[in-house]
Amino acid sequence: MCTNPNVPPEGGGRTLTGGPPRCRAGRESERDDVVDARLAERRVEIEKTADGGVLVDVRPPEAYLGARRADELVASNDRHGHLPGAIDVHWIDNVDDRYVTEPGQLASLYFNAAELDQGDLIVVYGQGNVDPTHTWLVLRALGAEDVRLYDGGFREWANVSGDDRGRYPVETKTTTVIETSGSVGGGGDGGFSCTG
Amino acid sequence: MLAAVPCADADRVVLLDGADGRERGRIPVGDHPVHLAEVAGAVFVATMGDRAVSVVENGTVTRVETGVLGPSHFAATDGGLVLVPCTGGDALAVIDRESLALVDRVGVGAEPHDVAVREGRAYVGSRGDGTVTVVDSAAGRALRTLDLGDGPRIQGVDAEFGGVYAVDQAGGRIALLSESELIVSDMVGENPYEAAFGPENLYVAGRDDGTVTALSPDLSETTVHDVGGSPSSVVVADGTPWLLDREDARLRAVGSAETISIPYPAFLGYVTPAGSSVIVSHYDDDRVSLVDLEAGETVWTAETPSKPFEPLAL
Repeated sequence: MCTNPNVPPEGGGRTLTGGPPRCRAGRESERDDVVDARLAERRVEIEKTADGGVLVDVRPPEAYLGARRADELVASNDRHGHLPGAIDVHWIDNVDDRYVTEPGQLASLYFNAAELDQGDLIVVYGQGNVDPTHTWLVLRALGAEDVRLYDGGFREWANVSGDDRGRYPVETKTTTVIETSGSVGGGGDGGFSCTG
Repeated sequence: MLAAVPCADADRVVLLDGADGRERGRIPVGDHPVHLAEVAGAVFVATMGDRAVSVVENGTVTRVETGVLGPSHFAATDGGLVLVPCTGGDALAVIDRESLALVDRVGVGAEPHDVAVREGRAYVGSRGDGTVTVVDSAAGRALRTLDLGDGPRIQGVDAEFGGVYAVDQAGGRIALLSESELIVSDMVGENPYEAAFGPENLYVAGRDDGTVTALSPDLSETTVHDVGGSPSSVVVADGTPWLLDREDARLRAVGSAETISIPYPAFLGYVTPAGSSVIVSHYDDDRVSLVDLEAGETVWTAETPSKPFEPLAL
């Protein structure tokens, strides 16, 4: 497992990888058009996952929701929020102090609370690759059969050029719609409404 | 006439007979429908809890995927496009009216909520960033982003009087915009949502301070009406602005003593094409009424599925 958050995965992080993520010493230069083409392919695959599988964002909830001060978490991101349709399961729940969380608790977290199924296509991502790789390992150990890592991560998705943003949208809300009254509504819980 | 009412908690649009309020049908449309728009004979339904909108045409419902959560309002272009801000994300979905296909998405400010079209440009207000993005919808790209200052939350956006108006809910302001700049802004009441437009003025309800602010089109002249209560919106019928209050079962003419009693408090309204009646939604009481403004009385009241939102006359 890659232990250096500053080291990109092998291959420049340009595919959805189904096997264990690997690291290399540094990113090789790539032609922009090749990068763009691969990113576009990956977007299509991620959109399919959002339709038929599950996207799992492993970052903290504040980052996932693009909370008002989320830019202080990762100042280098142009945008804040999450990939459309992703659910959030913070990777930190994988560990308990210095140890991996007890397997029964992990199974409950992923298969009950997060409602994943071992047969789902699951794509995990984070800001970089270290944290989602941990989740990738946990899910595989729990018997999930098709777990993949989006190794461009939110860092890549959030920072596409301005003209491409419509094709790589970022959501800040969840499908939980909470009507509010008399306030500015749409607080930091991911809910939103049209009344407020 | 039919009254079509999206019922947010029932995932249905209910159709009511305009003559007597009798229910004519319930159409399953998707999660959390809030606003409707009739575009060239089809009714577009903003299903805010989905990544799709519904289109009702010739008795069938077509789902059009937007790919981004929270479609909220609509605007149509002369070129046959229907524009939909997706409030749960940061995109404006562009739908071809004829083919009912998503043809593009344009990146805009975070949590876009309302959109208006003027002279080939779409203006998209952002709740999250407090900006208005000017979009060339035909070319599918954002032209520029207008910054409306420190901490605004843009709710309503309208193109009227030869300009574009954006309501800043957080700052209690309304701004007049051109394609390239913020021209002027003025204060209105607390917690405003959107503007209503009469022949000579625009009106903004302050939901938290019980005011309705009347402004001239250039925002240079302002009259604040202290109406009390919880004014939710204003509708203008035959030149008269009528106030709807979420806690008061009356319609009140702004600036005069004229009132009309209605069975329940009203949240949103739609003036019928004839201009003499208004369909009001009693959002908190699951009912809708047709009110004859000339006669000063309620014509009918109908029960609806849960949380009737903004009505539309068909």
